[in-house]
Amino acid sequence: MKLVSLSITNFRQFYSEQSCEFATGSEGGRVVTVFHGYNGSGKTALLNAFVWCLYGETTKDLEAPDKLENEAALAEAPVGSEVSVSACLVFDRPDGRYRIRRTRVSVKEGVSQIRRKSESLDLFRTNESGEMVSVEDTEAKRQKRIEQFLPRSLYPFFFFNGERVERIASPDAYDSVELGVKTLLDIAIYERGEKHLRTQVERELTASLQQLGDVELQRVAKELEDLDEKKEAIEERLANHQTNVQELGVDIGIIEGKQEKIQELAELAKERERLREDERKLGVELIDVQKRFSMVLSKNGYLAFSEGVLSETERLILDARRRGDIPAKIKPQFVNDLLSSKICICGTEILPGTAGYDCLVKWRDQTGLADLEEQLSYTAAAVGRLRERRNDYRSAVEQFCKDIDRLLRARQAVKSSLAVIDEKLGDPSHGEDAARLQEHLRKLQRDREQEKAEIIVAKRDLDANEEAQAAVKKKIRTLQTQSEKGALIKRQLEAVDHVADAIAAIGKLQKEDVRRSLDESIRLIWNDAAIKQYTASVTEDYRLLLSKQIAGNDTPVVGASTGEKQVLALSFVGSLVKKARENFGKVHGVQVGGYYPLVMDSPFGSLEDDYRAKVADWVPRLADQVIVLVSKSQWRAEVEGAMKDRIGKEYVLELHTSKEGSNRDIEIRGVKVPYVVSENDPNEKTIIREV
Amino acid sequence: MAPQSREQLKEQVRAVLLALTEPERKLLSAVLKLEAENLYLERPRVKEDIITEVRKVIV
Repeated sequence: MKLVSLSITNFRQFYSEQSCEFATGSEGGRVVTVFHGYNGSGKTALLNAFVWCLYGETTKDLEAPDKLENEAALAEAPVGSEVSVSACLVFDRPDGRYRIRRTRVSVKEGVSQIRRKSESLDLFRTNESGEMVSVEDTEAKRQKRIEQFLPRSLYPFFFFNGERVERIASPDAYDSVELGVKTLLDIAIYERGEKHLRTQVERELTASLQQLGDVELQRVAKELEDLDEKKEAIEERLANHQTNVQELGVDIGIIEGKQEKIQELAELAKERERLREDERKLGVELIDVQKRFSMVLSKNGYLAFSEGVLSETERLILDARRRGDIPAKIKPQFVNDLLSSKICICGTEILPGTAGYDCLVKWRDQTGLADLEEQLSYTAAAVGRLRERRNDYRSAVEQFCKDIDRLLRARQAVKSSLAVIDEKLGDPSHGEDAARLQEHLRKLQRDREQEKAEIIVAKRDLDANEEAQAAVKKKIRTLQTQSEKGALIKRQLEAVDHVADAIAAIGKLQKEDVRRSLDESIRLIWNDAAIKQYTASVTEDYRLLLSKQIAGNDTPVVGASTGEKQVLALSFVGSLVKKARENFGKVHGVQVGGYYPLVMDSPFGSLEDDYRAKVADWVPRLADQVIVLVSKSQWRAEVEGAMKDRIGKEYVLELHTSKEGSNRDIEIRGVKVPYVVSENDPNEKTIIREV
Repeated sequence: MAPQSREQLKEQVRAVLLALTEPERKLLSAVLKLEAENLYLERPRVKEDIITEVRKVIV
């Protein structure tokens, strides 16, 4: 967006129609337009003319924002007549020249009373052939179009009061700064794109999948939902039982501890501990043996049932020998060679049709038995090996059974001893306390065993539930694939997922590029302008940060001056528009980046001379168009010196006052021009004059 | 890895796009275009438009 001209009629101090054009950089990079104005001449009003024209509202700096009508125009109008205020802004965009005209019509009802009658908004575009056409058919749509050019929430970055610009660097503005960066530099496009795909679109497509009219699919989906809920319930149950086991273990430990402290029971308690350790060891050994036994069973268990097959095989081999089928009397290759060479080993010719030839053919047919012999020899050897393995297996099984039996007996013996100890521990002869403790202990142990049993049941239920879930999921996939429409939605869902991933990845890259770029730019500007050893940076959340080195660490600066914050804020705004310009172009078919103007009211107000000169130097280099509204006291030699080669247009807001003797001049480029004019007119007004 | 230059950024973005199918790339462009058009709105209602694009592109 490049501002071309502004015409305002009866807007605040500006009587009748006043117009101005802006430097656009078309003449040797002169991008600066300067308006010089005395205090009260309408600098802030002029800034607000832009904002009002674009959005129908004014900035917070404008006092009495409802009274836009010029006093002189109001005074001249007869009671009952209409007074209109308007602003017409012309600007260029890549797709043509636009003209916005906003008009407010009020009716004068008394000397100083007005009633608002109407407000209208027109938007025109000049197309490639030079023809001006109205854009959009309703005011709401026109407003929407304007906000596509420059969102309402972002205008404070482009039309601002320089004396308050430090607000951009304050914590209150973090959110709006983040929004500004993300919107202007198009990061929000990626964030929103991913969010909308992942939530709204995926949800809608999934719902479509379920509402396909496929009753079975819906039923199964519900079944899966129920199983999910059931799983949660079982897991909760399991967790409760596990907690109970732990807590009971603690209680049991406490009681056993108490028993150990009772002298009469100490020995028994010690013995119990020893027996428990034995029981534990036997248990471990038993598990190990059972595990190895299981492995042997699963690997060689079939050998237990192989006797019948092995005996039958041996019988068949024996029969073949008895019949004389094996060993074979002649090798098949030998017969084939004779038939092929047609000469016998004795030298006699063996021709087809002769008795010798027929005899050889007969032998060849019988030579298949040689293959049988080979196979039977191999099988006989295998049967032998299998018999050996079967015997080994039987021995191993017998040994395992013996070991398991031994361990079970040993464990049972330990258990019996433990039961005896438990009895003794609860013997009333040791006193009531001892008996009560043992009774309590038994109860806790029973409870713990019960809880352990519940854990086993819960785990079993969990396994069963998981199996059921897997089966239902498989069924859902089958049903989805069976349905052609369902398959299409599934493909669409997959594509949505891939695209959301890609958008997120690209967005992340863009975000980091923007942050890095802004950070670099602000650091450079700050280093150039600042007189203190502070470092300016942009955080990951696009927060502006001034820091200094304390004991080798970067520490945020507390209590930076207003001037320092203003320089930081201006460097940020400048870097933002610079980055937007660099990004300008089409990416993935989408117009991104853009050209933005900076319209600054009193930008040098609170700055020291050094800062003024620096800001005046780099702002026009960063921004594509700069409009500066300044008073005489702000337009110092160092500012003029830094900006003079970049000024393309220069105006004076000539203030006309009724007070006698108020005439003032201002010297611009060595020429004195009227600044304040005393005249015999009770109504103050301002006229925009080009210098 | 964060891009260190504009060229590196372009390369990395290209790599992401190459991992998509042609219809998916079309969908990506359409989604970003819709979001760009509605960027000025605080709560854009783009769901239906995106779904229309999904149904148009993924067939």
